Amino acid sequence: MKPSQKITKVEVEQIAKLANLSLSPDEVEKFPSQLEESLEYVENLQEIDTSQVPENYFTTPLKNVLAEDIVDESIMLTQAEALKNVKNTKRGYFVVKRIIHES
Amino acid sequence: MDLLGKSATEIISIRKKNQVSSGEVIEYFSKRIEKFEGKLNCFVTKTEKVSQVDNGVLAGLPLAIKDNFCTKGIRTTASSKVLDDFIPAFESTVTSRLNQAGMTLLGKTNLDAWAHGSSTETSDYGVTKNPYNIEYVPGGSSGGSAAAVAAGLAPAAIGTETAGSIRLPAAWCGVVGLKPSYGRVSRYGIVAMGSSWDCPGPITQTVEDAAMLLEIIAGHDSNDATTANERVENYQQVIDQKKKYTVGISEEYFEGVDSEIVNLTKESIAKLEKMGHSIKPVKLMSPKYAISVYMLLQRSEVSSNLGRYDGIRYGQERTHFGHEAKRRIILGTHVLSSGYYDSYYKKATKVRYLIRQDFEKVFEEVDVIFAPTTPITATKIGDLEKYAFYGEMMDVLTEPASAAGLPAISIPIGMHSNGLPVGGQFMGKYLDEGTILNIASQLEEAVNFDRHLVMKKYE
Repeated sequence: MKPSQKITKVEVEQIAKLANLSLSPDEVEKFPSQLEESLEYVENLQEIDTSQVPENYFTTPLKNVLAEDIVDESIMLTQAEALKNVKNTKRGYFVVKRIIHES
Repeated sequence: MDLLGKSATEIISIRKKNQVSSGEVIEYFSKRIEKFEGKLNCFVTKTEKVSQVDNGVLAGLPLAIKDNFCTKGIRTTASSKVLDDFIPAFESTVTSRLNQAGMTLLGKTNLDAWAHGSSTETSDYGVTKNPYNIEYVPGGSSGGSAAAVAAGLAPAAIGTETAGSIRLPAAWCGVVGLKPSYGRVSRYGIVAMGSSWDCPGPITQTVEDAAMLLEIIAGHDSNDATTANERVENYQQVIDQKKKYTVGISEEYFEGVDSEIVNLTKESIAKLEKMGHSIKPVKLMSPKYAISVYMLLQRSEVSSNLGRYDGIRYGQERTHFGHEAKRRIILGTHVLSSGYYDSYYKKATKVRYLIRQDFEKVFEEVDVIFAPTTPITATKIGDLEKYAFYGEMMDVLTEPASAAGLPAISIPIGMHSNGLPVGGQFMGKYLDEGTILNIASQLEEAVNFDRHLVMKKYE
């Protein structure tokens, strides 16, 4: 792995944009060094040889399970239930921000 | 009848003998909450949802549930303002099983927002106070659950643990905290944090209570494909057997630990030996690697899991995320971004694999491993700011078992001279909750920790 990473404010702002987060000026100021500290800490993993370890995602010996591709109505929400927590609905739909604009 | 300090199983048995009615039990705890909640801040939402089931195991037994379990029709916030007005349309598997057993819900307990933290100080609903000393934190993230049980505001509670969030607050509040094996208890309907780590489990006054509750909530769930399709034992019967075990002790778990905690742990080891268990020194990988694995994998999973909160279908917009959640999302997004994925995420999953292998090797020689739960006792409210890696440091001894998906239980093993309780933990083989419950129950009897002492402050 690369030596200690330098993280700039610009990079933090870019990551925030990717993650759809708005940061306060204070956070933009503090996050770079805090992230660097974390990335510096995790470098100790390089002390461990993992060349013989297979790729894996979970620690348990469980195998993939498959379900029949059928609709289980017992866990379905009605339209009214699905919309209950929505602040902005129109004709039974979720209202989202417009992403395509007319030119 | 005075129910102060009666354990959940004791209350069930008293009620069965008709010495107290369900209504009286519920009223008793509701009154205590009314009286002391202002001082301790254990709950985000008080409910008193009286069960309609009157013949289940838990009939008439009120419980407190961490506020990251979806409860149908009852606000579920995960202690974040993002979910301030979120009313789930469905029930988590854990609460659904408890409901079927007749649980009465006393309320939803406070946690670090999104369960990100080890002190409850990152909660958007204020910090929970440690019942032993209200200037101190209860630990976290299941701090509200642990404090409520310690102070006698609830006879027992349910929490969740990703890497310490049940055992650490249990240790700091002088109660029992059981983190089951990964996949032993369904995660369905829990506000997700680190999906390959999260484990729901009981926080109780006694090991017997933990055994009783685990049996209800454990088992395969078709709504969570990561649950193990393995038989769930009758844990209450299991703990009655009082078997003799080989207990592994690893030096690596004593490095940098407060000297009084080390001494109390050693006293417990001596008690175990006296009871006829054999003690065996073992060598485990240093817990410091688990910190790094956790830091990378948990942040990555957090950045993905918290991506769904957009305020469109429920909850508030992403501007409502607190400082800690944002910091974790940023780190997770960074380490998952192209060019870094292999060196961070993949590397961490491989080291996690080795941590599990390391435990498996040691478990060829011993039945359980015993260690302190935390390196120090509860910290003062506000001290969070003094540590660069507060959570990682406090959870250093709990993270390895979590990384390996193994079951572990923390029980109180004594008092520190600073007036705060100390916990010791047993870590067990995958899906072998029976063994750690069995030996924890034996040590509990030998330690004879006075859990009623702190409750007397709240009379």
